[in-house]
Amino acid sequence: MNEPREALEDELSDLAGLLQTDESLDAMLGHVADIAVRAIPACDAAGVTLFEHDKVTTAAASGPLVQRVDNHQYSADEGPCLESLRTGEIRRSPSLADDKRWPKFRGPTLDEGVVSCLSLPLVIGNHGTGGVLNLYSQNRPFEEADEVIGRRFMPPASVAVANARAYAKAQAVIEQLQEALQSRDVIGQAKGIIQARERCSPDEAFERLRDLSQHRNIKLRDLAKAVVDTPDILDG
Amino acid sequence: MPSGEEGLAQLSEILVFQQPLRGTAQDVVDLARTSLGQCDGVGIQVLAGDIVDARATTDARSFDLDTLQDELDDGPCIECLRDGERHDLEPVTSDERWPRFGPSARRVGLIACSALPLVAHDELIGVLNLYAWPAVGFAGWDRRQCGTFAHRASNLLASAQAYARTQVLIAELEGRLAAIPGTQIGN
Repeated sequence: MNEPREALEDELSDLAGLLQTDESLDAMLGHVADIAVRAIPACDAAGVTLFEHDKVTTAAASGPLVQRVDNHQYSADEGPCLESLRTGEIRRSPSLADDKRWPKFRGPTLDEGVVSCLSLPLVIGNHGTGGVLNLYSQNRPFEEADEVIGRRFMPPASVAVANARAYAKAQAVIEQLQEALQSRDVIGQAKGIIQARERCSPDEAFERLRDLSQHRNIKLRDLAKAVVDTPDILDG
Repeated sequence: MPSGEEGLAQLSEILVFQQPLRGTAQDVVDLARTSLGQCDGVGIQVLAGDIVDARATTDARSFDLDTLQDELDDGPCIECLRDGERHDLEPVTSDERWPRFGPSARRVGLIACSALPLVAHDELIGVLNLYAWPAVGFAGWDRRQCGTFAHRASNLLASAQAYARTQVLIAELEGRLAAIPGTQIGN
């Protein structure tokens, strides 16, 4: 708990620059949450909420408490995290018990033992707010000093998240393209088999495959794989 | 002009997916020149294996000095790329370790230079060359700050390379898909 703050800031800055290409996006976000817990004195638990495809999800959490409290916000459709996401501004509640801003969120969160919270938006230039770093305390209030440290964390944390998300998206596109290529390879092989058996042109072989797919109500790729595995199904 | 600390902070705020690797390399040299004290010019080489993946310099003189070392196969930059260690030449007037590069560099007014290895994931991925040519007053660089800058720049450039590789692979896969005629997926 008493690590030098500069060292933790350096750790976060390193994280911003270095894409762990062998590490998942979730694992990287977990590091960001972990560093926040170690660096911000009042923080007992932290998590990263991401906003994608019009949906909020808790992508990383330092412990189960974070997911539970986040869920209270999502189901109530109110709370510091959601407000921070919508406004791009910091939301700090030194004392949730005395805070009237989020009445539906407050009760269940106090029941979890959370007494104070701090939400830091992860903003990238004109890309808007892509996520929020949420900090929760069960023992002491988040003071102005905690917010000051939190502000220093926002730029490198935002960049770390944005870089890792861009990389993860690119990886997903690669997987889709590889899948599509494999699919077409199978279709190509099936066409070859049909051409050989029925002495027809490539286009005719594809037509035959497509007709069979529609007639038997089987996806083209699945049918092609079946033809490659058992060419005799063409006779059936 | 940002201080050393501000320069480091700005380095941590560069997005790797908004521009090609060459642009990120340019950002690094520009930031090095403005934030590292006593630095008049900067050059960088980013490697992918034995190939130079990207080069950038802040100005024509730095470009000439980078090129000169390459052509002469001599100088701190070349030695840094060979052994992965930092090499300083300061001041050139009394340093004769690089007999081919030294005199030529002196003629164009170079006072000192420092070649810093760029290392990420335990691999040498390039070199950052800092140049100084003031007439008087060169007091050397803050070694610790330069080292931290090079370390963070290494991480950034390795990330930019990793992202650039994904874009190359995506283009290649799209090309291969487009080259397969006559199939329509989606049934």
